[in-house]
Amino acid sequence: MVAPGELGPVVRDLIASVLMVPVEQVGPETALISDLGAESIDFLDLVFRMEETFERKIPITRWEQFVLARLPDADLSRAITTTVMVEFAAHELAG
Amino acid sequence: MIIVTETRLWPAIVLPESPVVESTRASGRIRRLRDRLAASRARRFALDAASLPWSTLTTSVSHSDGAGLAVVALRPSRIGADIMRTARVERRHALSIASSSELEILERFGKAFAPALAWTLKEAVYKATSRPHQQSIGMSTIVSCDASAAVVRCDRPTENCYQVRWIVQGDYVASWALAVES
Repeated sequence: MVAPGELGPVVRDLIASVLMVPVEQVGPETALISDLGAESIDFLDLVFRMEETFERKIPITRWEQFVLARLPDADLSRAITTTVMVEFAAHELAG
Repeated sequence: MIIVTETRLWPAIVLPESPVVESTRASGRIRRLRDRLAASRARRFALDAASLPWSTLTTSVSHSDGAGLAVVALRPSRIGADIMRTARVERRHALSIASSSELEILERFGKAFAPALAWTLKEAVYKATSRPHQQSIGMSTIVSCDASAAVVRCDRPTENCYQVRWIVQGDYVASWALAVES
């Protein structure tokens, strides 16, 4: 089980692994789409990796609902950052 | 009953010069720049093929691992395009957005690319919907499919059905959706 304080580094590692970039390129405000080239299917892979890491089922619809609620009307290519992914992970662990 | 609107479509696909495999797959900014270039070239080819004033046309573009797809249609058509490298989409990806019965429909045409076909059919429809960011890629149903086109119903009462053309080109599956009257 991942402790809340470890969530940032764990999610950062997951992002680096799924998007095949050095972890040093994944900062808190790094935009996954515009900075790291993520595609929609990469977010599904991130959710799969979170499921494995956190040992709980996370339907992709929960990620989509989280984005809608957290980033309404935002330019998602710039708005989905590492920090947003960490918030989603925290949301899932709290649920 | 589905009535296909009298809209003309001009699709264009740009493939990478050499096959992309996991070990040589570009990543990060390089991948994004390469992909956007391929999509931009496809868009230009499609616009040239249409040979109509750009102001009368609407476009949808997509890219995946060095390949680009663009579809151009007369305004005010609602269109959406998606291309994926076949090997990029696994069965578990497809089952996150499609049912096993939907996948069975597609497996008649090739088990290897059925997951990528499911993904591109649904993503193309998702992009063609009027407010794509307010719904899920999985909120549609593959009603039927033949060797070149599928009918996909959007699972929202205010949305239309879509006729989705699909094609396998090299290592890629490409789909483009057009809203039809129902």
